[in-house]
Formats: sequence, structure tokens, C-alpha cells
Amino acid sequence: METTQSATATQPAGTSAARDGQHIILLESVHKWFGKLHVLRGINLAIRPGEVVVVAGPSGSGKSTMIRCINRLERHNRGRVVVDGIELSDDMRNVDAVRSEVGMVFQSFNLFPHLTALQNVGLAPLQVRRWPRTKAERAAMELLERVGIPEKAHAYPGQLSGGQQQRVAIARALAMNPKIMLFDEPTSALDPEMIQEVLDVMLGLAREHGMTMIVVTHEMGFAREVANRMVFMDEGVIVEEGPPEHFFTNPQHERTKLFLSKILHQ
Amino acid sequence: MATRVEVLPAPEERLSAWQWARRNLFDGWLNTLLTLLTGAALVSFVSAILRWAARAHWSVITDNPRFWLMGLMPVELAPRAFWAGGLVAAAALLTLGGVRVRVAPRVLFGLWVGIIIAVIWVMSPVRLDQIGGLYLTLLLAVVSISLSFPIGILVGMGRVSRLPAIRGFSILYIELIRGIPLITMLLWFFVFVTLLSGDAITRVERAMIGLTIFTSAYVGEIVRAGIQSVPRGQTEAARAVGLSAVQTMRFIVMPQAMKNMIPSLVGQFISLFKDTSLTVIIGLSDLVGTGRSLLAITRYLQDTQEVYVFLLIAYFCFSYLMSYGSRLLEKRLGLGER
Amino acid sequence: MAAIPRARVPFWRNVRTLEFLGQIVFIVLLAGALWGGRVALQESFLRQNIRLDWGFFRQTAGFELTALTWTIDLDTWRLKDYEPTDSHAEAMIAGLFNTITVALLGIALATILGLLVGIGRLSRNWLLNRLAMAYVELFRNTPLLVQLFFWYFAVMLQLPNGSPQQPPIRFFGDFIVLTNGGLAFGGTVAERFGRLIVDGGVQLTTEFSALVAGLAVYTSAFIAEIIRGGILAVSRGQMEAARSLGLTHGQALRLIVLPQALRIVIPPLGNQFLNLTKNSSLALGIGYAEFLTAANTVSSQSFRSLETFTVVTLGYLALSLIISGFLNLIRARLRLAPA
Repeated sequence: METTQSATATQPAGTSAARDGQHIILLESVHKWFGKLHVLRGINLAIRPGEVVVVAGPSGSGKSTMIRCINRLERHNRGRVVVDGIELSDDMRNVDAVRSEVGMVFQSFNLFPHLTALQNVGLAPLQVRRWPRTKAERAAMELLERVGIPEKAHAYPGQLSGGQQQRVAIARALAMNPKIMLFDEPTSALDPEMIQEVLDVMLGLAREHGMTMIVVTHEMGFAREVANRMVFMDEGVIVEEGPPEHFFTNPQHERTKLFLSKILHQ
Repeated sequence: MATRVEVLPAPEERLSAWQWARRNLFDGWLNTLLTLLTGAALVSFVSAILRWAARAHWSVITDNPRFWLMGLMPVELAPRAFWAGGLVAAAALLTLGGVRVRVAPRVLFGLWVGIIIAVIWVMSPVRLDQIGGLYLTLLLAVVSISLSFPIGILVGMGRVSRLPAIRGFSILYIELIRGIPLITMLLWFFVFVTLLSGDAITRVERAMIGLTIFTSAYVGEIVRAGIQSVPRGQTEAARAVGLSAVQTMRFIVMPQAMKNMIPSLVGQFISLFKDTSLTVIIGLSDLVGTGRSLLAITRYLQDTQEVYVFLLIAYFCFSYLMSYGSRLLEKRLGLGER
Repeated sequence: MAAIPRARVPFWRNVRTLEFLGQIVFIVLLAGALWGGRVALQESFLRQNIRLDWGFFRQTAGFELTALTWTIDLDTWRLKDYEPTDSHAEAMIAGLFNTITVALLGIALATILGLLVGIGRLSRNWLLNRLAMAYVELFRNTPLLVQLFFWYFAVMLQLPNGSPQQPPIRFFGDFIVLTNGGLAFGGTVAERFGRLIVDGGVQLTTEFSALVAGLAVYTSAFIAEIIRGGILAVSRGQMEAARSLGLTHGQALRLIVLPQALRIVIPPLGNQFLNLTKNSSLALGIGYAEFLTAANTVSSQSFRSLETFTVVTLGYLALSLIISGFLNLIRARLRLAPA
């Protein structure tokens, strides 16, 4: 358990900062088990509004599980998760409230194949917010313009390239006007030439709209450029975190160094 | 520099009848031998059938059209039955035409609701146990299909539920029913209902309930497979944008599952249509029952072959129509996606 | 103390509590329905002066079965031939044995027929292909019961009765003899009481022949489609890879395609075998004394319908569970076997 100790040691300010109510996302010693497998072993993380946090780490380190706990796609077993002042618990009202404040983008897009791009984006406002159809469609169209593919509004996901699909997925996640966006390896399933168009959209979100973002990615170029903070996870704990300039030039832990050397020299 | 690539039309392949026959029938000596043997067998079989058909006494069919159609329904009610049949046939034709010219499903649904209300109104003076023949067969099939569809969807959703009590009950129901032959279940159910309520529930109603209970289990299993064929990511994405569990089921999972389910669902309904014939064993006079009661008349005692051949043809036509409609529907749904 | 106080979740908004309560309500409703049914049945029994009584199973049956067969003597637990002096229970066990006989024979015939038709369905010969397709469509799209009626009433019973005016149909000398009294293999035809009768050999009754033929033909149509689907499901790439290694078409089919197709085909094939076994209960329509028909006779003789049909239902359930357990075993082994 020395890893857990080091995780708390790297983050002395985390818990004290949490007390000032300045944080939009707060994870306090979050644990999660899949059956007997202990996937999250005491995660502490506090994120301020407008922060862009990039989470990196080897596969199976619990990165995805952690961000899936933030919008309750996974239920954490121990600890606390507070999102925008709402604690995630078995209270069904809280879960619904949080889900409309948190948008999520998946590795495999998960667009709805039986709906057009426009319908994919407009579905939640139409059904959850009960907007009239014209209003929902106009809003969806604006979002498609923001991600740069208004001309594909009436195409089905199957007719779009991977990059276009992921941009539609980002527009869909934005449709409920979330305060927070979660990205779960948004470019891993893309062909190399399509990665940049998706990263550009994410960049725009961070810079122009000041969106709070947690991005699980191995795109270190993107991380250097946009991230306010780097988080490195391994074996279910946060091993190291800090501003990207420190993280990339002067990593503190052996495991971080090893990981960075692998990922930067591939 | 982009070079212009000329797009050529694919070379057209036109086969003369002779070439076609060469390729499909007489390609090599083995194939030729096969063709000759099958051809000879086919010719002798077909000619035997034709000779039999020419000798057969078709009067058992042709002299009793009303009996075949509606059994022992009182004559004064027959015109109502004809009207109802005409309405349904017209609706079926309109639907086929509508699917071809791509009318919105909502319109077709409305059409059928209207037709069903009209039919119920037209047939209201007719008691259920007065109906027989083809009308009874179709009535049993239509009622059981429309009841077992929603029940089967509920059971199928229960089968994949997170809640152990509901999942357990659904599994028990599905596995229990699927382990028992339909006829055994029907017989048990008839005896049970008789002991429970005497004659309060008519035979036709019992058959409808029995067929519905039976088919719902099979539909439930099809729905389970359909739901599980939709990737988990779909549900997660739907929940992540804020849809409720019910909305996720209705707008995301079911539409995709339904598309995968249609072939097996139609297969199940064809099988239900065929299974309505079992009601003859519990004393209903559906199409088969009508045939058998005609065979009991002295004049027609010798006409077993004619009656059963006619029955086979009649069931075949309806089943084939249903599977044809399903293929049309599949094609229609397959467009616009993927 | 954290900035946001830990909120207490009222129970009516707590998902877990609600799920738990919902299940309790569901179970209570279900139990209530069952209890209600029981009470209603009891009242109805009192009103009609009926009592459930399982003792009649040990009473003498006193009827012949249309098919003679083994049963188990319930006193000594030995196999014996069924006689009318045996009990109702023993009559039903005899029926169960008949069901198993019909199922085994039907499965064997249906598999052979289905294999032939399935291969015909894959043939490049247009005529054979279409003929196989017609076979499949015809038998799949008509009710099994009507087919059984057809085989029994319109085919078997219309055969010559074996009198000198209507001599039996014979194939291969006297090896196969067909009359409306049944089907005989390997006997000798002799004249007795003005009729041509078969001595010796294997003799099958009309009902049995019609039932097995009907079940086999009906199921073979489904099996043919399964076999066709299984062979087509083995990807074209497999055949192409095998051919590119220099195997002939036949070798590729035998060594590469068929072994893979077999693994695809076996699970649905097993379902068809289970279906055939359950479908054998339609013998009730033509009066062959398998399990359900024997039970039906018991029920009408003893006036104990609810008890008899409950036992039959449970019997079929047990039979199905045994067969599907067996199929699951095979499936598990198939999954483990190396490709």
C-alpha cells in the first residue's frame, strides 16, 4: 500500500482546497471493485471550474473507470464523488441532475446508428429538456456548425468517417449544455489522419469556451498545449500530478518516467 | 496532379436460354446426370399429382365455401363476416402498397387501428363461439399475436433486468413454457380453467389465452436476444446524455433491437399461425376442424386426400404471405442505415 | 468536515431502496396471485365436490395401448411388456417409452433427410437446388398437425388393404411391404383368411409409421436450412485459403469447411431434436399411444384430468430439461475443443 501513501503525499493541498467549495469536481478516497478486482484504490482529485486535466497511464490503470464514476456510469463502492455541489449517491434525482451537467465522449463514439447526426445531437434536448422539435433542431444544427460538419446533419453515422463521427459525438455531448466534459480516449479508435480534426474541436472547447474538461488520452502533444494539469495513474491510484511543464520535464516517480519514455518514443 | 480515371460501365452479361441452361444444368457430366435424374423424378411426380388432381372430388371444397370460411356461423350473420373480411383484406393490400411507396409507419398504424375498430363494430353481434373455419384460424392467430407481442417484450426486458426477482421470474416463465409441448400446455390449461370457472370462459377464449401464454415466452426469448445484440456502449451513451432508463429503452435500444428481431419474430408468428391448428384437438372448429367435420359427412367420407391437400395449400399460402411481407419489411428497414 | 455536507438520501429517492422495495412488491403480488388461484381452485373443488387424488395412478388401467411396448413394473422396478392389467402409472410409463422410441427414430431419419436436402439446397445444379427449396418451403410453411393428418388419413389409411383385390405395395421383393395396416421390413408375405399378411420381420403399425414419417419430414425441412446456413456461414475466405494451399475443392470441403460448419450447426440442430421430441405429442391427433396419448386415455378413463395432465406436463418438462442439459454439455465441449 505504499502507492496509496505516495498518492496522498503528492496531493497535500487537495483536501484542504476541497473545503473552500471552489471545486467543481471532487473525488475523495474513491474505491471501486469489479468483483474481486480492486480497480480504484483511493483516488483523491479536486478540479476547479475551467480546468483542463489530462489523465494518462498504462491500460488497466483505472483511468476510464475513474471518469466513468464522475457521471455515474460506474457506481463507486467507497469514498465520495461530488460534482458541482451534488454528491453522487443512490439518490436518483442527483444522478439525473449530474448527468445533464456532465457530457461524455467515448472511445468508440457510440453514436446511435439508427438516427441521423442531427437527431443524435437533438435527442436529449428533445426528450429530456422537452424542447419543441424546431428549437432542438436549431440548437443541434448550431452545435454541428461548431464542430465543423453542418453539411453532414442528415447523414447516418454509418455514412461518416471516424473523425466526423467523433465530432458528432462531441456535439451530442454538448447538447445538454454541460459544465463539464469527460473524454475517454477520444482519438484512440481513429485513423491517424483524423486525429487532428477531433483534437482541434477539443482545443476550441477548452480555449474559447473555458470548459472544464477531463481527458483520458495518450496524445501528449495535446496535453502539453492545453492541459492545466497532468494526472498520471497506475494500478488504481494517482501516482503523480502537476502542471504539464513539470510533468514532462521533471517527472518525480520511476513509473512516470518509464511510462513517458515508452509513450514519447513510440 | 490528379489524373482523370475513366469510369467504365461493367461489361454486360447477357445469357441466352441455351447458355444459361449450359451453365446451370449441364455443367459437366455429373451435373447433367443429376439434372436428368431429378428431371425424370420431377416429371413422373408432377404427372402423378396432376392425374390425381384431375380425378379428385373437389366438390367438398367448392360446394362449401361459406363453411370453410366461417364454419357454423348463423347465415343471417354471414354478410357481416364478409364485410369484416373485405375490410381486413383491403387493409392488407393497402399496407403492402403503402410499404412499397414508403408511406410513414404512423399512417399504416392508424389505418390498422381504424380497421380493427371497424371490424369489432361490424362483428359485435357475433358471439366468439359462433365463429369457425378460416375466420377462427385468423382470429386466433391475430389476437394471440397482438397480445403476445407486448407481453413478450415485457418478459424479454425482465429477462435482462438487473433486479434478481424480476429476472428470475422471467427466466422461470420462459424456460417452463419452452420445456412443454404446446398441446400438453393447452390440455392442462383447459382442464384447469374448467375446474376453476366451469364454462365462464369459452373454448375460443381459452385457446387465445393459452396460445398467448405460450407464444409470449418465445417472443420473450427473441426480445432478450434482440436487446443483447445492441452494444452496451449504446445504453451508456444514452444514459450519459441524460436519457432515463425508460427513454433509453424506447428511443435507443428497442429500435435497434427490433431491426435484429424482425426475422425471428416473424418466424415465431408464422409458427403461431400454424400452431392454431392444434386447437382442433381441444375441440375448436378452426380451418382444420372444419375440414374434419366435412369428412364426417357421408357424402364426403372418401375425400380425405382432397381435404388435407386443400388444408396444406391454404396454410402454405398464408404462411408464405407472412414470410414474404417480412422480407419486404426487412428490406425497407435495412435502408438508410449502415 | 467537507465543504458540502454529506446529504442524507430520503428512501423514496434512493435507487437501491426503491429497487429492493419494488422487488418485494413484485414478489408479494406474485405470491398473492398464486394464493388467490389456489383459494379459487379450492372453492371450486368444494362447489363441484371434487378432491385431488393421486391414488388412481396405482389402479388397474384395463385398456390396451395401440402400441405394445415396455414399461417399468412399479413393484419390482423391472422392465416388462405392458399389459392391460397394469396400473395407470405403468401405462403412462409405457407411453413415455414410446415417445422415446419415436423421438430416436424420428431424429435419425430427420437428420439423414435434412442432410440430403440441405446438400441439394447448396447444389450448383439449378433444378436440384429449386427442388430442395420447394421441399423446405412446403414443409416449413404448413402445420405439423395437418401434415400428420395427411400422412395418416390421406396416405397410410388409403393404401391397399392387403386383400387379393388390393394387393400390398412391395419393394425389393417382400423386403418392404406397405398396406393400410402398416409397414413391414424383412418378413414374408403369406395368404391367410383371404388376405395377404406379412409374417416375421419388423412390423410397424400405421400410426407409428405415419407419426415417424411426419415428424421426420417436417423436422428435416428445418434441419436442411440449418445445414445450408452452417456451410454458408464458414467464410468464403476459408475456402479460398484452402484452395490457395493447393487443396482440391473436395479436400477443402472435407478438411476445412465441414469441420467448422459442424461446430456452427450442432447447437441449432440440438434444438430441432428437442422440438421433434416435444412435437411427438401431436400423436394425440392420430392416436399413437405415446406419452400424451396414453395420459389422455388415463385421464378419460379415470376422470382425473387435472392430476394426469399435471403429471404429463411435468414429465415433458423433465424430458426437455434432460435433453437441453445434454445439449449444453455438448455445447460446452464444442467451445473447449480446439478449432
